Amino acid sequence: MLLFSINPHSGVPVYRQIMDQVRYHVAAGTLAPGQQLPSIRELAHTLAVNPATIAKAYSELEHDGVIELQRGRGAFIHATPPSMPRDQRRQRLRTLAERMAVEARQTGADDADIRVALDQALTSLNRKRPS
Amino acid sequence: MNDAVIEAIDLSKTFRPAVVAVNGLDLRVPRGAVYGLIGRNGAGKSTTLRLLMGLLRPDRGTAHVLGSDIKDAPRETRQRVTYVSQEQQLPWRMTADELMAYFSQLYDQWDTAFATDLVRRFDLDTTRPLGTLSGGDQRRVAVILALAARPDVVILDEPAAGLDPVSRRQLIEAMIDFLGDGGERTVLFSTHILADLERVADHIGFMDRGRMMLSGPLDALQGGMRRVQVIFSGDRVPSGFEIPGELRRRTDGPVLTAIVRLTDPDQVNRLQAIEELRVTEHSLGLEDLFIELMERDPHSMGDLQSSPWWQHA
Amino acid sequence: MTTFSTLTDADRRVWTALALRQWVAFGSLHIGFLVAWLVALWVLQLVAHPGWLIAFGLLYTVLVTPGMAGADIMDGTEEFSFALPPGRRAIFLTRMGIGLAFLLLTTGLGSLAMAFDVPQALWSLVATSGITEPNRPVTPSFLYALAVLVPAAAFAGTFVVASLAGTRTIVGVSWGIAFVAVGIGVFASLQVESLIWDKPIGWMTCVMLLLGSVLTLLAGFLAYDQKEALIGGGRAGARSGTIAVVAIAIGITVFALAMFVVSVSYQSMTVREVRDQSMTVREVDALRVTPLETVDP
Repeated sequence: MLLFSINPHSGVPVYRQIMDQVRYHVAAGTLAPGQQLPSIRELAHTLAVNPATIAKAYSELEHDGVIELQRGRGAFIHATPPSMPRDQRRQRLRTLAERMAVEARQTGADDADIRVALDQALTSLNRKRPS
Repeated sequence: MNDAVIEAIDLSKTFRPAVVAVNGLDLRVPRGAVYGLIGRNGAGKSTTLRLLMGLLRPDRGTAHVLGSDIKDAPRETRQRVTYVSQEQQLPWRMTADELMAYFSQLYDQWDTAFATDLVRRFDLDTTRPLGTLSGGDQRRVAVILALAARPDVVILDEPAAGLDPVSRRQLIEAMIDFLGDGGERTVLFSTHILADLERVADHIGFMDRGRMMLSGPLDALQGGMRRVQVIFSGDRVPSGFEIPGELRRRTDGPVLTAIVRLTDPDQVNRLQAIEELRVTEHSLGLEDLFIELMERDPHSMGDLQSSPWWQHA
Repeated sequence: MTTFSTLTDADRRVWTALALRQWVAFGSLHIGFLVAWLVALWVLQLVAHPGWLIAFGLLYTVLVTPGMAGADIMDGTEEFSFALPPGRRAIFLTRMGIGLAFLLLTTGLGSLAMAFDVPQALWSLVATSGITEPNRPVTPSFLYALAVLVPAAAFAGTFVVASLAGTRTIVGVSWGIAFVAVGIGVFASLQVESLIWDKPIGWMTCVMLLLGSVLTLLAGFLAYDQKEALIGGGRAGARSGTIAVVAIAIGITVFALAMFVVSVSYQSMTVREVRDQSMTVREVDALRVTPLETVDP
């Protein structure tokens, strides 16, 4: 399954990379609700990483409600995407936005450029989602 | 909580006349861990592994595998542990087939199918006497023997040394398949090549001059350290400026690059909020991290070990 | 280590595999010795005197023991072998068991055959040779016990030295030592036969040899259990074959020298004593190295 590519040397823990990629694919629609993920063993073999790492990634994803692990059957994308409570969502958005604003400002861009870039990113994301 | 399958306490070994190979080493490998023992050549890694396997006698301290001194343990316990060393020789008159047949009698859990699969993947000729195989092939045979015995603990001394990148990847894959069968198996391997560690290891221990300098879960190590770069608007870094949690710094004009230990998620964010500064942070690859750490005075590593993440599980 | 009473099926399987492995590794050596032994005893009737039993028993230690006991050291596989489940004790015991069993079988049966003059009886079915006179069928005597115990003692010594060796050189040296032991044993057995034949000292020798063998093997067992594995397995330095050849050459030289020295002094002694008529016919006869004309008193 070639959807995942990890770089063990980037300093980002491998399990985080996998989690981030799963989340990205769910957000982009490449992984549909109810779709099955490769088994821990298969993915470990394909990516050549410790199965415990895959297990940890899956476990955390399940905890976050992104996937569900069905005993004896495998890992599946959750039918209903996880939704955060409103306050938590707002807080997270604010953190992300502040961070983006600061970093974008450091590139020397002005407010208009930053807003355009954000719109483009959202459009591109929506285009990938079939619905 | 004592869930350690491998444990060394104050382990010491001196070779005559006066070579101190291991000097008060503490090591703890929890069950199910893949533990990478890192250190420069001569740090004492091979000696440590030999002490754990009972091949050498410690001068002081204890070295236990599966709860006891493996040298005096009953056969049932000993056959749950296998060992591959960099320098060992296999019986040179025997063929790999004969040796595997022998192992199938010695180890209760011997997995012939797994052995056959690995032989095929490693593309080995098992009908030739082992003495006629190249060093790399002999090592691969030894690894197959160690893994196909399906032990609870595998101890590997520099398994990838001298192997080309393809063989190294094959070795890692073999290890992963070995781990992936559901049994809670523990692997302890020593290496001075960091790149392979990051794929498989979830615990690491850094040895220097016979002592354990730093050890703990890999995620905690990587997660806790970051490289932060701060660029000042002036033409030099103001004196007295310090990033909270910084361990090492390098300055070059207005640019300050530092290894920072994170204690607080917003540590870097707060810096970034300061208008005059351009702040970027990067994850630290294991290799970079250890190069940075190895340049430190080993005696001052104590502060790293008192960090909250180095909880021995 | 599990006691014998609690052997499980798995234990049996492991011990069998271990014993089989040791046998396979050294089988050709053992067969070679057995063939030489049988030829000498039954075909060539070289072994017409119990003293030669001792010599052949000692030959066993030369051919087989250092190779078997020192195999891991010579091949550099101690690090590998000691890490296997059976461990040092099992390796030592298996090798010792095979060695002793084989040795006792050959020397023990050989002694019995000699005592009851079996080869002569067999040959008489084919032809009556005048090469040797029939041995007196002797009741179990010290000499026959020695024929078993002396090689056993030499085995014990050589086995322990070779097992505990820290270098290939020592293993090679134990070959040389074994050769020297052969030389000494042969001539001692012939020289002192008259002494030990009847005198009480014979019993003491047997007991001492037995005790010595047992204690040596026990000490060797305990020391081997604590042995640190020989690291650096690469067969660098002298190859095992070279060491063996050198050691055997040294041993043969010493052996030949000893033979020469003793035979010269022996000849002169015999002639002198016969001339002095200080030896009885029986004593001369008992020495039985060269068929001497007896001098009528």
